[in-house]
Amino acid sequence: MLSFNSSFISLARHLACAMLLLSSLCTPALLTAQATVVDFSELSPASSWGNPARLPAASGYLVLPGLGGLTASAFHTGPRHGQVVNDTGWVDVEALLAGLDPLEHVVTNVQVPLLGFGFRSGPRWAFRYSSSAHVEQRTSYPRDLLTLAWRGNAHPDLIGTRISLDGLGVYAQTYLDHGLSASVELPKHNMRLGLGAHYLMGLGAVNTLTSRAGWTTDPLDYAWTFDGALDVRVAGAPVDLNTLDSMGLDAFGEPNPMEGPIASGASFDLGLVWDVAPEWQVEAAATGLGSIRWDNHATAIRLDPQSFRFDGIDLLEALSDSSETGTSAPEAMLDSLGDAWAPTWAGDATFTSSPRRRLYASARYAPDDRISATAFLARTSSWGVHFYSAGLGAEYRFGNVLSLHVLGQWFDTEQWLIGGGLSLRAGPVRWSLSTSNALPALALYDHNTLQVTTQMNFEFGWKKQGKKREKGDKPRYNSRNSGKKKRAKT
Amino acid sequence: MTGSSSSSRVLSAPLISAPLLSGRFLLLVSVALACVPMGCRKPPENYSLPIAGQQWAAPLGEAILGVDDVLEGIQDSSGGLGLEVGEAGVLDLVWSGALGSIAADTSLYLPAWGGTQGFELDNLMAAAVDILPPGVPVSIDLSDTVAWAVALDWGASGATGGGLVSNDVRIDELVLAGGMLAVTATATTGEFLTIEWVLPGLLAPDGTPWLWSFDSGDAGVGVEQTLQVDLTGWRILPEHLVVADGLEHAMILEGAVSLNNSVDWPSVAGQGILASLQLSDLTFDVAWGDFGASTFRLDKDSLKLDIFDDRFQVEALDVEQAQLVLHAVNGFGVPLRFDSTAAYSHVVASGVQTNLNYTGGWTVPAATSPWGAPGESEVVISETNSDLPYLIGSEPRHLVMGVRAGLNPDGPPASDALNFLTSDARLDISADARLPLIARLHGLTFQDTIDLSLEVDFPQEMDSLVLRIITTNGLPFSAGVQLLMLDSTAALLDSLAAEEIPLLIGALIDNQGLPTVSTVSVIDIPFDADRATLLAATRQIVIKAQAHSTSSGSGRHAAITENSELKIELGVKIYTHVEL
Repeated sequence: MLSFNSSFISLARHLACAMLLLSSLCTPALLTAQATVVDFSELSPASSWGNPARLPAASGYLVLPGLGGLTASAFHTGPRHGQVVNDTGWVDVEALLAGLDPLEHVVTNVQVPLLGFGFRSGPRWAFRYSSSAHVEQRTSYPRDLLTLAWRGNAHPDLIGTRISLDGLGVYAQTYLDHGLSASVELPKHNMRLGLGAHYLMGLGAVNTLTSRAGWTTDPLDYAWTFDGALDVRVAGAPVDLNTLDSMGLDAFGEPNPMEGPIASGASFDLGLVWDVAPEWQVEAAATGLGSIRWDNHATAIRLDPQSFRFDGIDLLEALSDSSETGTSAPEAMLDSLGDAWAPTWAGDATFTSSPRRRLYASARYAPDDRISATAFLARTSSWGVHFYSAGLGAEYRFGNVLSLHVLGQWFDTEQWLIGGGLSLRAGPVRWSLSTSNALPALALYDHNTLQVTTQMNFEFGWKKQGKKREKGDKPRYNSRNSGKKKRAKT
Repeated sequence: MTGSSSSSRVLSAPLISAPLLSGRFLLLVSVALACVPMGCRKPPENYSLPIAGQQWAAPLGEAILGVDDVLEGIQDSSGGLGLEVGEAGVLDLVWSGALGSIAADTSLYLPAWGGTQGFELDNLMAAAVDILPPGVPVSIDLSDTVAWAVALDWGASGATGGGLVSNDVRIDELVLAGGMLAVTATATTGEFLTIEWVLPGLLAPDGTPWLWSFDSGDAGVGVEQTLQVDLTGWRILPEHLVVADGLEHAMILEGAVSLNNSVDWPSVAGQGILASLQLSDLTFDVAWGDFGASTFRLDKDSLKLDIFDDRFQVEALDVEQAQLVLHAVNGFGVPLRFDSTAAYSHVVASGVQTNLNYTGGWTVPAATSPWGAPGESEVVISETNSDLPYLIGSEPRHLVMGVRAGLNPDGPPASDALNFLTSDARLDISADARLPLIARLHGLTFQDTIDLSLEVDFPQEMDSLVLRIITTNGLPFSAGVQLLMLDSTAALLDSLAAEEIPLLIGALIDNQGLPTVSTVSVIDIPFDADRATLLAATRQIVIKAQAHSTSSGSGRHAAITENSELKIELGVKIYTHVEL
């Protein structure tokens, strides 16, 4: 019986579906590198973690476990939903492929405050403590993966060329951040400096150190040439290497808390706030300068660099059959191929990772206590991949009770982010919400970024609103005139 | 995208100046937040994807056929065919085997020999014995010659024909390895009787003739005595009797009788003594003599060479070179002279015979001595001294390499250099045939019909496929093929190619016919659902193929060298349409 193997068709279908599904899921995905309410509103105590030189608006604050809110964001560097899907739902796959860069990323971050407090000490000093949990990940996929799934390896655009799956990988880590920071005012220079130090306690991580894979199809005889290498590090759970006979997860055990942290590390924050003019303020900050060393329960999954050419089965051997061994020639060939590319597992595979690192610079114009506008530049790094952005934001205050802000941010991935938020105080409780591309989430699908931040904390030291600032006074955003010192005059 | 752009433009305007910010900020924020969703499209309720038109290519496999694989179709009945690298790397088809052998122990036939001898008293002698006083003997001399046939049979060990004419052989001496002499003597007279028998031609190991004495004593009538002699190490020196058609071998028995009167027994005519002798189970160590000038023939019919079976037709198959080496090891003490006029081939199907035209002779010397080195000699028969290449053809045929030999080609042996034969001597003749694979093959056609019944499952998602065949041919032979698919009524359904598919393109050759550059042929055979339907209805496939050696049309010969190989690669390209 002559039968064409339908599993090949099924495989092609599933591969194409999986790739397009991944793409469509990522298209309206979320953003991580954007500015948030913390970048604009002093009313948020957490704003000081974006720049340790900032002063909290209140003289003291407290963030309690379970009530501190969270920050969640995701970011997809590929084409936006609206670029590949029209109003009728028709997916333009060719446009999708044309809009992809050679390597695209999906980045997500979740940060949950656990405990925090801060206070001012005198007119010049402020101190803060914060504990938070972080879940960060980046998944990278090559454009050729989608192209291959859609067109097949024999498409004229692909045959004879190396279909690159380089860079395909997952990077993720979960850790606890315990940080202290302080800021100090330099009155003679109209400047405030800040420094933060963090102890990072790692819980689990996956890091793709090396990911190279290529598939070349010879245009004449259709021979396949595979090349590649892999080095993936996993930390967070003990692995019984003796039971590892496949890529299964059965060999992973439960971590023993008594053995201490899976990983530990440290990072530092540096910040500067400079009042260059009564209505103008310049900021610069670098956060996340450090690393986490994963040296406990760290396992490596490796494929040594190699190249393999597959010319098909040995027809003579197949014709002669291998009934003696009970294994057919194709099976033997596949076994050999599998042996050639069998991953190796190794323990004691220490590696390091970096927390989310950000470089930030802004200029703020605040003509009075109610209004401010900010222009900024930012670079956020995720496992060695940098995302650059520039943006404009504005905030309007209703006293100390309510503030609103809007944001427009442009990324080097040619994407826009539109967002806004509010900060509301009721008694000692302040609640802040900031969203980007989420506010019109029901309709604004033509973006591939989303970010939500909600915070709640207890503030102390606020009194009723002082007299309205006279023209010529320095704005209250300038921290030198805010807080207790300002309130003492009232 | 539209919403994003409009939003950014709206938001940037109030940032130009502080008054604008203070006065209109709330309004602008509201407008911006409202415009963003207004400027965006609602997400569709349902998504639809185009059909993915994929193209996949995969290598199916490859086979590298060496010359061994390519030529394994050449069959021979003995299985002795092999390949060796000859001059200039050209492969030689070789066959080695024994043409035949003769063992001496089965060639020299020593029959049992026997006879009786005795005497009877007549009336006169009986009366005379009775009247003689006791102690006065009567002596009688007896002598007899009995012919004894000795034969040499050269037709042993599978040889046909032959057989040496016995009367052409003269055995002068036999050294026996074994045998038995049995004698029985019975006296029928009551007189005192003694007799001595002698075989002068039967010598004991010490050189003395066989001698036996019989004494009846006074036991009266009926005395019988017997004797058995182990003849190991004895020698026989036969007598030669000239007869009408040659020589006969004979043994002479001599006897001397002495009678003494016994007063107790009267002699009666008819009484006497009777003796019988029997030589049996004779085997020899060495036989000496003159083995004559007879001829015998050894024919070897074991090599059946099938280059092409009956599905092939060939216009011309010209073999340029061929060589046959005959080698003889002669353990006999007789020189031989072979000729090869018996070599020939005959086509199995038609019986047409082609004789080898070779007129040369071939003398094989005798062994130096019964215990010395055998004589050895070989002869080379090739295209230079014969028309041996013409015995090779495309049809299945038997190659009969027979040899005919004559004894003592230089005449009878001298008396001091007699022919000899030892019991363990052998005459072995072997042949080494070598056929360099340099030939001109022209007009080879092949046709066969194969019954076929296939269930073809062609997936709906598959538009078509193209089977790619790539041949890289280092052999100087081209081949084209055509496949015709027939239905149950033998009607033509389809053919894989309207024209013949050039499956193999012969490698280029130099002036010596040696392949120099391999050639590549790429063949794409499309296959789609329609063809799958036809294939499912196919019940027979007719395979037609044509082949020829490179430049065969111009009469050139082409060679197959040790490095010649044929590489076949199969790949497939599949066009699919997948609904996602």
